[in-house]
Amino acid sequence: MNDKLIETFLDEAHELLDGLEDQLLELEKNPANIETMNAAFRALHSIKGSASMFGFEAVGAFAHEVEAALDYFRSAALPATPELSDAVLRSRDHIRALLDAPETASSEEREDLVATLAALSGKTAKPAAPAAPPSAPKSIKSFTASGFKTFRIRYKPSADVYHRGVKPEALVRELRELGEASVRCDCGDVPPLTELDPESCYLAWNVLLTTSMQRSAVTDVFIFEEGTSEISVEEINHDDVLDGDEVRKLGEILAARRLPEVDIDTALSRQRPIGEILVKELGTPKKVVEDALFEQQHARNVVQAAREESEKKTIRIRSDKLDGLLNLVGELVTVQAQLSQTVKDSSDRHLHGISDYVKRLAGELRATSMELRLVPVDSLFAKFKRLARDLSKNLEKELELKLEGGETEIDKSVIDVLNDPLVHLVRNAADHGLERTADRARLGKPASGTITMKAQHAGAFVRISVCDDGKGLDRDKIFKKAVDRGLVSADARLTEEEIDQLIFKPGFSTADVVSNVSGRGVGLDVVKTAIDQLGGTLTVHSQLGKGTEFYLDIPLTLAIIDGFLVRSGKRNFVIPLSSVDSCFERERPQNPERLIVRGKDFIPYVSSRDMFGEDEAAPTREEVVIVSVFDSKLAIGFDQVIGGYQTVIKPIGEIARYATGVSGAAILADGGIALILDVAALARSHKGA
Amino acid sequence: MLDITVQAPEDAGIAAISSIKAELVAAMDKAGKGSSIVLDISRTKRADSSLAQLIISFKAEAAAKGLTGAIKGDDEDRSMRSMLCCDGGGESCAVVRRIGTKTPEAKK
Repeated sequence: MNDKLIETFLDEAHELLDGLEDQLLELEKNPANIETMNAAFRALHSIKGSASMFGFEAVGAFAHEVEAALDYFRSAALPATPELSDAVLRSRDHIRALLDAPETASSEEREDLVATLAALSGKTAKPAAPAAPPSAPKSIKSFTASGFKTFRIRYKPSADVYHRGVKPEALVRELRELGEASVRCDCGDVPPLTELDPESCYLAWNVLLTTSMQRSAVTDVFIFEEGTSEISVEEINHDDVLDGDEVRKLGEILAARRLPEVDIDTALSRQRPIGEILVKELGTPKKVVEDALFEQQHARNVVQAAREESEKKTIRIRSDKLDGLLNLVGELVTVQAQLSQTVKDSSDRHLHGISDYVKRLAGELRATSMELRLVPVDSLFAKFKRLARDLSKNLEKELELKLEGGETEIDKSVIDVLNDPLVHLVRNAADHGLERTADRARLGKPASGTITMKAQHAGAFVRISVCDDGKGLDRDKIFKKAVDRGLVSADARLTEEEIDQLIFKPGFSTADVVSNVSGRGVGLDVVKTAIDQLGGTLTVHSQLGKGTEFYLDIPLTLAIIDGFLVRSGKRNFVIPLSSVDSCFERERPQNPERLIVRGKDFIPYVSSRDMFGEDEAAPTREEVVIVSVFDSKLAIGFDQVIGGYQTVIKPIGEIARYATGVSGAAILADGGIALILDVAALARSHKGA
Repeated sequence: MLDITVQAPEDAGIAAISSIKAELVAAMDKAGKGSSIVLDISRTKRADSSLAQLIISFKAEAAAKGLTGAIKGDDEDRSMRSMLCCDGGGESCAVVRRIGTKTPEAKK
């Protein structure tokens, strides 16, 4: 089997499993939601079908068992029980294990699950049936006249349909799930109010359905209505409404319906809508024209859906190929800077033109290749719904997870690294942050604790916060524990912020009991290290009794940024352009100052010469750059502002951990090096100035 | 002239439909020509096609009697389209494009 095909299958199976997890969590909240139940069923059905096709027989056979249990509930319109959701969630994990590392998938777990699922669906366990070929409807977006059928369906429920416990509109909804449906309800038989028996049904539904499914799938929808209600299912010849991929005109559709050609020609010769003329002047039944219009509109919807899809087809690309592309773009940006530098002193205007053009192209290529790597934070957040649900069960605490800003986009490589730190933070919040349900009631708090994960952009950074409304940090306890562990001396005088920082020390934990969730003394220091390595920062704010907020400020990208090149003595620095608020020139002050006044604002000030040292004599004038990150501002004095600079970030590894205020380095056009300033760290360290 | 509001319950399915009808009929009997009767479904959480056909019938009867029959709170979740699971909204649902009306996409 072609490796690429298997890779594609695995990608799609993982996506389906992620979706299935969401659907099951939704079912736990709304057990009677039939749409969600159907969606979960379809996901399993698709996995079962394609797994067998790609040689993953064990997955196909197991998915069949799970699907059967879901189908038992779905067919009987039974709400999902907590036991069913739980078993299917576990099954979802087992399928994932079978796909990722079959050798590690536990056969005991499989047997236990099969028995549980069989019991749930009122059966005893039995060997799995061979996987059936996929029978889920194909998306209408892949419409072809030969691969799909269109059915004209009329459903007139019997008058007593409501008394039989049937909701006719629910059956129509089921039809919609089979493909692209146009539905109109015929209300013509509804009598005036005084004559209306409100418990009788006077309605009828006319449906045009274009589907990849067979006729039997359509008739199956009405299986319990046969013999009591009027049902007709008639296949339409696609040629009657479509000419290739063009929708036929109304006159052509009417001609296919055997309307006299002479009438159509007469109507077409007038300058008025053909339908109106046929009905008002030529005696064509109104219903005939309305039906043709209905079919024309439906055909238009189907063709439009297929066209939209073909216009925005997506392809899957391995992320390492994107990494390779970005590296090349980085090299190109550096070479382009060298070209600009070389051409600068040339008098050849043609050469200048070429250099400018290369610069613009390199910029556009850079922006496009960066965009390719951006993924919404939602793809990361989605996994936490399950984690929160499991934590709630394990810890026996009611908890609600709120996710905000999931549409915020961030570089894929950053997303990959953020997962583990965020898992640590959410586990800590659930285990140590939130009080037990009974304690919350006693404290007058809502029984359910809330953990909020939020993402938002701020210039070249993304801030991801994890907040809980729990007990907050107990600083007395933290300090005492730190003294016990020899991290600080007992007579140390620490500010609240300094005490809070102790929780990031290796091996620190105030948990009295080691749980299987957290409290082993590993965690927050690991989180901090991971964020530091990303060039980001981790901060904490807490109020006793109110809750704790962790902020992860992460650079948007780890590759190329728009920079602002400045110089002090012989040293070059790059400031991320998005953090630059403003800049101005002034006489260099004789005496060091800690604050400058800009308008009504007092802004902490620091000289780059003081921060990084410089032997050369300082010029008499100074360029002050004001940087702004989140709610902090800082004014930094430099000798010279050079200007905008596309900066390819080169990591400086371990050095960065010990160089406060520096997050990386860049190679300049002349081959020199510029240090990239970590403005968030600088602004924070001078915030209290 | 009177303005009468009939409040539909949270669950306006088949179990409640007869009593809603009775309230509407009583309101119509009470109202004089030119009055308006409002069926308020803003608190309704569960409704189905039986409520939709009642609304169609109520509005038609109100118009025939020279009354204004109106619906309050028929947002997306409680729309005729949602209750009937169709593309249009109740009475207008019967046709995709009314004959004789000119729409931008109208083709000969």
